[in-house]
Amino acid sequence: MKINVVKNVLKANDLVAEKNRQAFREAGILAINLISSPGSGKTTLLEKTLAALSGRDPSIVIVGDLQTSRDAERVADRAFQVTQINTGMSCHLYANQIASSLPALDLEQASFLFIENVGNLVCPGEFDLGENLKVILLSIPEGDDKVAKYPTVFRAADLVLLTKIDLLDAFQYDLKRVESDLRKLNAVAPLLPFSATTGAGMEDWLKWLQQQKAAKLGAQARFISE
Amino acid sequence: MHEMSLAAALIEDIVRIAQEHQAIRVEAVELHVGALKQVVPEILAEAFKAVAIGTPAEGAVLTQIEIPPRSLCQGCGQEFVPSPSDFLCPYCGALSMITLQGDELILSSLTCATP
Repeated sequence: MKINVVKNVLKANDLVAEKNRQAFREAGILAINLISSPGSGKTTLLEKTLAALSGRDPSIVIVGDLQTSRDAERVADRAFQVTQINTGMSCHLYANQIASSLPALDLEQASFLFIENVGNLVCPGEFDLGENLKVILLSIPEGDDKVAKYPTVFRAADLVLLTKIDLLDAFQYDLKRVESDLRKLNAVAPLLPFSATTGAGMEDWLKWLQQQKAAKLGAQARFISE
Repeated sequence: MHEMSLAAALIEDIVRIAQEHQAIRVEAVELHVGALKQVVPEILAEAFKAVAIGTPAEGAVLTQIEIPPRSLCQGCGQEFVPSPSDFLCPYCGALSMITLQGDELILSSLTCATP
């Protein structure tokens, strides 16, 4: 017996992701999925960002790693709440893992939820977690050829942070190549040079976060008034 | 390596659909894989074999049909085939496309044995 179906294989994940998104909307929190290779500066970005936001914008962090709670420990002092997910052998987070983390988190008391995905430029691009925005980090030492090599995540990016920009002179690096590769994939995501060491780009990053939050809450207010 | 997650999601769907049709065994499975999906067919085939063990789909033949990418330019209205790392319209140079196909991962049919 042949059974014909049309079934999206990732439908189960996507449905949970949609529920997560609804929970974020109801709580008025902006959820950001941070995606990059291992070692490109996701946790350092969070350390600096949480310090800058503290007081004004309490933020929650969900960290995904194969093993250890090292990243959660690094941001624990500065975050409003932190959850570490150990994925074991899995190279990305699933929507379900985020959903299971939510009951323990006080979403309504926070402005931002940062989800630090497993370090990987491939697999996290395929799994919607329910985030509002995807921020891709690309560090200078990784090379200027990576946008075209890993196009899927860059196609989906809402912002690309070019991290460790202070190392630019130490490498043969063509910034124009990154920009031109990105513009073949993504017309809108800003490309923002950033350095946690010198503070370059920090102000623009924080401004971008506030703009996104305002845009989201504005859209929500319009939605409710309609 | 997310092929393992995809295989697990696929097997879940297959087992449920087979049960709904009172099938005792799944003999063949057909999957449409968009060329823009980051799926390595050989790895997905191996992952499928491994995840299927102990389910009604154990030993089922998995056929993967690659769906080539196709985009529609919103600038000039032309259809074109994008390259995975270049979505610029070859006719007008705009980057404003709708992906018509090539992004999907669809279970399209099962062949089952019934009692």
